[in-house]
Amino acid sequence: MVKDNNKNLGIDIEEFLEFYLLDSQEQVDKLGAGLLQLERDGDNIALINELFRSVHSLKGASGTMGYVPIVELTHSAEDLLDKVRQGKIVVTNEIIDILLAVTDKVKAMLAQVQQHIEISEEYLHLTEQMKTLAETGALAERTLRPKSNGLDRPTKQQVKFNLTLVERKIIDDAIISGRAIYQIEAVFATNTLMKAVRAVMVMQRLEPLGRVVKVHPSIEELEADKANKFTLLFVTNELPDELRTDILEVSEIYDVDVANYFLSDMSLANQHEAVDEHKPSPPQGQDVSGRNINTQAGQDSGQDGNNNNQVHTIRVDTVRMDNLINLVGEMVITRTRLVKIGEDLRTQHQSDSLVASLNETNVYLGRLMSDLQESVMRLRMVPVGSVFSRYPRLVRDFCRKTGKKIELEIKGEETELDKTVIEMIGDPLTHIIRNSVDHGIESPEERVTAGKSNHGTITLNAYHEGNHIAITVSDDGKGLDIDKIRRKALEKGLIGAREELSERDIANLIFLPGFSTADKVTDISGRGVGMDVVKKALTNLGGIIDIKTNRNEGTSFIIRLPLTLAIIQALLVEISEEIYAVPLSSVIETLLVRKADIKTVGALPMVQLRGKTLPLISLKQKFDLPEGDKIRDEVYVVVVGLGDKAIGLIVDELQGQQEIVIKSLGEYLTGLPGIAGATILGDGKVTLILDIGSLIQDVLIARK
Amino acid sequence: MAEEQLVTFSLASEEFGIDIMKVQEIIRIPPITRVPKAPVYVEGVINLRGNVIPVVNLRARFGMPLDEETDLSRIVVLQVNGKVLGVRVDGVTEVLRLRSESIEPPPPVALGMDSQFIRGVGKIGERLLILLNLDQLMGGDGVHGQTA
Repeated sequence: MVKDNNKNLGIDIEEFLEFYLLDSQEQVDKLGAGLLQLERDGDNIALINELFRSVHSLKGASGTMGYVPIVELTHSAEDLLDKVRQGKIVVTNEIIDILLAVTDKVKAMLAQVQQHIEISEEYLHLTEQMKTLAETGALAERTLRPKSNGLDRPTKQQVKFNLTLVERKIIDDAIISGRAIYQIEAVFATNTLMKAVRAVMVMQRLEPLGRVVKVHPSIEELEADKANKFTLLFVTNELPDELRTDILEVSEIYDVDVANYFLSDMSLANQHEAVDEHKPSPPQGQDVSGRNINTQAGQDSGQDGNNNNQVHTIRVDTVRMDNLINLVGEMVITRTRLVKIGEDLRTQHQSDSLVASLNETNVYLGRLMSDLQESVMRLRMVPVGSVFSRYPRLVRDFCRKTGKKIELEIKGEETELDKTVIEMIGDPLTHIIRNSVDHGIESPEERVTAGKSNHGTITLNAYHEGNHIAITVSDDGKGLDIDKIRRKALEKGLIGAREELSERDIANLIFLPGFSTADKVTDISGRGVGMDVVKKALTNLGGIIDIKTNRNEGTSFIIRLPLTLAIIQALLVEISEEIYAVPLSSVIETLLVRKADIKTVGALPMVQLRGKTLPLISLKQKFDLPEGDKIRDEVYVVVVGLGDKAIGLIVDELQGQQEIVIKSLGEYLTGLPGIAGATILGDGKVTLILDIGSLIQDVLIARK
Repeated sequence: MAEEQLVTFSLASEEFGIDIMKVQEIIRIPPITRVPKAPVYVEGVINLRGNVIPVVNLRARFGMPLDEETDLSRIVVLQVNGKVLGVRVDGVTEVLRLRSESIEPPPPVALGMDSQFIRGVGKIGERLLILLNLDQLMGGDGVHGQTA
């Protein structure tokens, strides 16, 4: 018994550890992203508060688990951030650098924790540095002023809102969570008739942006047509200017003034702080308002109960999820059998009402099953932003190293992709972005000479495109040097001197192994490995990559990925009474070809198709399948292509198109020529999926 | 003292034993999908509750003449080194316990089959039980001999 208990205890700690690691890694990522934002927006108090929270919870969790080095490191970082938060020191590049170094260090330590080894990372120099910064930095002048947001002018006279206790609580919470509190004064145009209606419209407009705490005078009083203006007390994360423009769109509002609102005493807020020191306290007194509140929507971690867009999530082991998906697949198959039984019963007992109701239930079950299947599949989808978030740091570090000025714009981070794809596109994307940063964007001087702004821009975008997800990396740099690539390719014998290639073809040569036009090797890129690895990695994911480039205008890499690796559309074909699945993404067309039209050229069957020769593969011969008895003078040909290569597959029958779930053939049967995997059809039978890439390659080799 | 628990099955006129801990389940023969270019003894793949697993025809693997499927034919689903595979046998006979003293090392001249698959021979009275070594069932020289 005692032994068992010990064992259970061990498992529990392991579970805690897993949770701790997940949570801490998330906090570290948050910190990293937040620091980069802070670098640009050093006065964003909400952001500083958030960073402080992250560091604090890291420290707390690490303390519980007993990882002293992490605690000490985060403790110093917390001290430093606290000084920043209180406005005693200003955010400098130095501070950002050291805090980024701390996040890296903590990451390394967490990795050691994960590997169950003692934390051996050296960190004392970091804590020392932070201590010095916290002390000397305190003397620094406040150089960074808040951006002009219309609040520099003296605040208008404050309206006295008679706040109830509940309303007061909302304000206090807002202060604690670092949101801004504005007093918004809206003046009606002269002769406005329905003032109350206008006021309500203004409030409706503001609703999605924050929370209206109080209106003065009240709507009832406005209805009585007494005032020519009204004032709102508003809690928000938005910028005052935006609020102002928004409100002005309501007709018959003549003027709007947005000003900070201060509570006459902050005692209540302080009281809160004392109760719960986890929550960061606002800087004292008036300082809270002098800062620019600019948290992006959704960044607020939703600690305050007022925030309605809280995201509720749970973490689930992927193995459990895959198991669930498998089970649902099984249920779908079992249901098709039920349907079959129902139909058989109907032919036998037509008049029985029980049979009819069985079949009705089956139909309903079918609808439920397809809904269930779709929901389960959605579980695997993850927003691509989780990958994108690592690149701002990459670009920033590079800029600091080389003096280039590069802005990374990220769009479409909410686009969802299968988790497996997400896990695997990180490295290829890193390569491409590095390439853009190193070779694409010019130095500021070069840019100015070329008549461009000294800031380069790299845009990272993700969006749906039919059944695919497209991810583009575009820069506004110098573009690829087509002539140079051509020369290099000739030198290396990758292309023939007389080969006629379009600019796009030439640009795509950089994906060939061993190709690099960089004159000097830098530690960022230029070793000639990379682009071919990128292409390979993407091909493995079923994706394709293309380049568009314009001299002096920039280069775009366009990656197209399947929505999910697990489910694909397939064309089912029959060969020697077995059914095979051809991924529909590689099917170009299907043809009915007369046998007489098939000519053999050098032992390889070919057919003329619209003036071009199309090499054919007989899958029967390829797979050593028995020749059927059916002799026909016409055969079906499925034309499949990958990139610009196309071949025709000779099959017996076309069976139609279907969504299939890709399964592996298992470790025992890997690397079979021409077979990519297996799937299970509705009748429960296993069907093999053809590997079009390897089939095409075989033909191309055979031709040489 | 030591004892082994075995699942026994028949193949042609021989009787074989497999360690029960390696047997996951025993099923009737479902539709089998042929896999082109796979080793000859791989009969194909089957759907085992949503997982695709390979099926080895043991007669083919041991170089015995092939036979038609009968009502008694079964697939024994095994877990070997964490991987799941099925082996097709003529029929499953029983589950029995065998004392380690009654297990003898494989005879130098194997029983008309490759000795790499034989772990030993068990004796129960007059019955002889060939105890199988499952590690070599997939892979080993057999695969390369077939695919090369």
